[in-house]
Amino acid sequence: MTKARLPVRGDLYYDTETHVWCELLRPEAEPLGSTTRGHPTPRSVRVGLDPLGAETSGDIVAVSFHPDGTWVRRGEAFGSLEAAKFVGPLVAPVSGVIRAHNTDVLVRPGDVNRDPFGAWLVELELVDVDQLDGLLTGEAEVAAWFARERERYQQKGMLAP
Amino acid sequence: MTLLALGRRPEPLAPPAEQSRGMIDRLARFGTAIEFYAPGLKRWQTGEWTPAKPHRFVPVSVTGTGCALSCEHCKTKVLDGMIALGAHSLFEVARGLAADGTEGLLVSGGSTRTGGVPLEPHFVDLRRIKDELGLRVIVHSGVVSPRLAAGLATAGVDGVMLDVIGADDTIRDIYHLDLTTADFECSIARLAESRLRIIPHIVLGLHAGVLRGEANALEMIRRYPVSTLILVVLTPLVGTPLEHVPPPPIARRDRRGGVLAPRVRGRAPADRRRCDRHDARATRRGGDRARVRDRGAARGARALRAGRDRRTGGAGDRGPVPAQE
Repeated sequence: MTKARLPVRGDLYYDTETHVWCELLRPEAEPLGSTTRGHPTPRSVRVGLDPLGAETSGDIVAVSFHPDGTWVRRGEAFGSLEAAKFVGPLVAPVSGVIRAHNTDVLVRPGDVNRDPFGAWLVELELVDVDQLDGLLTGEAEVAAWFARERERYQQKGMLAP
Repeated sequence: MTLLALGRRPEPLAPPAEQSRGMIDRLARFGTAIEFYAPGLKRWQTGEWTPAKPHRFVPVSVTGTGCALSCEHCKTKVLDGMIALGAHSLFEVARGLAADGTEGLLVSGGSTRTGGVPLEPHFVDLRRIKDELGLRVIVHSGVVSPRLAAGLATAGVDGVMLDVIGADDTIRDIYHLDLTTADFECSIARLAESRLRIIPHIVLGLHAGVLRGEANALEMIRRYPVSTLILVVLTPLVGTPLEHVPPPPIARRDRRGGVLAPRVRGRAPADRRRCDRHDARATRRGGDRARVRDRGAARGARALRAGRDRRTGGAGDRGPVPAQE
């Protein structure tokens, strides 16, 4: 266990059940040299594991993703994760088509522990951007939720105080 | 969980004449059902299966992430996945877990310098957890002293798990302990004498992926009333010196292809007098245990480096193995 001083980003959208974040991508946000097969559209999101999800999973030793082009529904797996404390599926926070995956985290899965917001996992093309309304966002709301979750994990002994 | 319980009809078995001797023996003793258990140190889930009660049986560490040994295969990583007591007593933590639906605890922790888990301060809580909360309690004991065995028996724990190591150099080089296999055998003997349910573990490939004392450990265990044996295949953990060791071979075979059986040495079980004599000799031997432990750690590191160089042709650490998609 490490100290629970974890960063928070209020501009992202969070699935509070699975601790997976979404970042709405816009065309100008596409990085040069991206592994994407097409160009991200305003309806694409980048998906990753938030710091509490990464911390409570322990050292992540392997990740895998369904192939690009796979359609996944919200609540279904878009890949799987093996870590010191958890082995199981990575659950999609929204429905969409996998348009790209981060090849860096396949080679260095520990990047997700080191930089949860930088080490994104997949990009999903959404059929309906309104799905994001069902996720948590906003500086104050996210900060309050993080604090509650952190306290809950500390009470369960899963995070150091 | 059993295969039968999943609703699958088992394939018809081959006629007895075509079955191997091992299969005939297996069917005679255990029937056709196989039960699968997932270790409680991790949460497990698949796309098809989600545990109905993921917190039914949970591990608790009485030392948090602290351990005086920091063994080569663990480096306290295993403790990371356990619930730490923090400022609370073991009973308070158990009460909170029971309120959330937990039905049983694995009470574990890091080791002291003498190889035991410091459970003595928690004997009263263990008894209360059994009596007042009705939880099932299994403990990790490490090396067992007479006092620990007696205290666990009085606490009424449901089982005692301990690693049994059958090679002195593994104890020294991997566990950094100034002990011998006799200490581990005496641990089993003391638990047996206290009529505790013994659940020994043998870690296959513990000596940096090499089979060393496993057969001897099996022989040590065979002398005592043990109904459950856990065989753990070494899983190299990220962040430990054994991170990149290859798994142990599946079987050793002789020149004709037959599987080599462990050497069985007919020896009587250790009794209290023998263990007491062993303890007295160890005390007389005295010496600076820390110095011996440090020597063992250094020797272990050398052995690991040598083994790695043999496997890599002197290339040293290969770095992380790329994950496959």
